Amino acid sequence: MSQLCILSVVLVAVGLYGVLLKRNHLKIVLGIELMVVGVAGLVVAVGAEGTSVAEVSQSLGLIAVVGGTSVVCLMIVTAVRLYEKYGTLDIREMRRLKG
Amino acid sequence: MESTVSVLFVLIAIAGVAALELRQARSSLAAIGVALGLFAVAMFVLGAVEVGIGMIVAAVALLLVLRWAAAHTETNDSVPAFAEGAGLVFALLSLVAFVVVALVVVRGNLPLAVAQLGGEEGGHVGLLREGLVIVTAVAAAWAMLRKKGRKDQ
Repeated sequence: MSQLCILSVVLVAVGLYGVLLKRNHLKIVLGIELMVVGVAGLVVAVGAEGTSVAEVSQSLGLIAVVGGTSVVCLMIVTAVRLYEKYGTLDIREMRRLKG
Repeated sequence: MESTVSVLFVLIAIAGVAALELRQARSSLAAIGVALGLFAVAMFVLGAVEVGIGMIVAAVALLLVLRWAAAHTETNDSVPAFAEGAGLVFALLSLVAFVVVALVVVRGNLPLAVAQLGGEEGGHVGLLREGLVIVTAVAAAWAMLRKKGRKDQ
């Protein structure tokens, strides 16, 4: 269980790397999706025991996956709309979002 | 079985890095598809069938939306790969700090570890947790106050 938890944290860290260090809006959204997958993996890994997983963990994992992916889909649509407005996916060029 | 799932998780992490680093939109899309598919397989192997099925459905929807997004934006990523200057240093420090704290908490070496979060109210764990909440609230208030007055130029 502990090994899977650590690997889930690694997955979250990979996603965080994308969110913190990338400037491309779509890459940032992909990073968030990887974080969602990592969190779902962590929730499931905590409830895993032998060949079965606790039902609570499965439910929470399912909610994390479906909810997280829905939000990511909305973020992708927003990214495309922003691209149409600004002509770039570089988040630093989107100055008018300030304030 | 756990070793099989561990190998799958490592492959997911590699596919994730590939999705973030590849410059072509199609390659990036394929890599994230592989990562999500492997995660679904890992869930099936682990016995979490509901999560696996949910992941497959969510992955299909996400890949369709990503394909649409790739068709309506740039096919090649022309944005510079990394942030620059002080922001880069701050981001790297944040990333390292997150990994260290998360690993320490997951391994159960802190009083704030997952297994001990249900500590008695009024005990040192409860006080630490409440202090953390107050610090977070103050940070949020500061961030909101800082935004006030910064208008579009």
